[in-house]
Amino acid sequence: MSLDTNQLISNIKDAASSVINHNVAEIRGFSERQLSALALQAQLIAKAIISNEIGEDLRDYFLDSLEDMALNFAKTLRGLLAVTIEKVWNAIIGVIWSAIEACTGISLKVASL
Amino acid sequence: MFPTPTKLASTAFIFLAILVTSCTQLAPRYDAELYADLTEVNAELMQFFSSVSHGTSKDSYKERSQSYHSLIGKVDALAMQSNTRPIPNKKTLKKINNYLGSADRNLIFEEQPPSVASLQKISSSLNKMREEDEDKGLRSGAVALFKNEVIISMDQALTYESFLNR
Repeated sequence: MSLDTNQLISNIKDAASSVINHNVAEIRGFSERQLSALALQAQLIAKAIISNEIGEDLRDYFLDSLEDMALNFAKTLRGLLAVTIEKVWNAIIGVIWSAIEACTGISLKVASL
Repeated sequence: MFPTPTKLASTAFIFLAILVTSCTQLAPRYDAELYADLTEVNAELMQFFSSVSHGTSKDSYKERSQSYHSLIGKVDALAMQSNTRPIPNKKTLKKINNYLGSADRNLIFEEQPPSVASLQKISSSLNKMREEDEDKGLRSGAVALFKNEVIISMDQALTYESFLNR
């Protein structure tokens, strides 16, 4: 039995697209929440400064803090990206190995995560 | 611009290296207990912020001292717990990073889970809030700012940890 490469390519595309579509939706939701919360923080800082609710010391702290949180947001996005790459890769490998198993009749025993 | 043959060969080498190891893992394993503890401490944090939402007086700080220390201790412990999980395919991650570094990419994957930095940020926010509360007391505007900081960082930690459940 020969391996149908056109079918294999189509299966790989489907597997990768399924993972990407699902993960991108989750990442988009997270990004929107974070951006809204960071914008709210900027608004709260401005309001607190105008109404003298915070002194100079706290003002500087909150401004520095905003940068730290933006950096952590970027780090989290990078972490989510690494997990997405891992899932895409494993989905592709799973499809390829299954195709080879079906073609050769040999069990390749893909380890589950 | 098309990649050079050297870059293509490097990419192919990395992919081959990963292929040889079959299913690969580039991020830590999901820890259900850690996630449950995170959601629990998150609820405690929100309860605490609710109790001080109208502002505080330094005269009554002693009443809140134990809550601050308890929450800071729990968050620090969770950061440690998150950081002690091994990444199974460290070598693969290193190979990918070497490639990204040699190709002048600005994206390098870290071994430390990003939730660690987010939890450390929550701890530092609570510490700063505690100091201010003890020294001067807090006005409601300052409490709202500290609360939003914790919400932002907790969202980062919870989202990442939940994402690991693959």
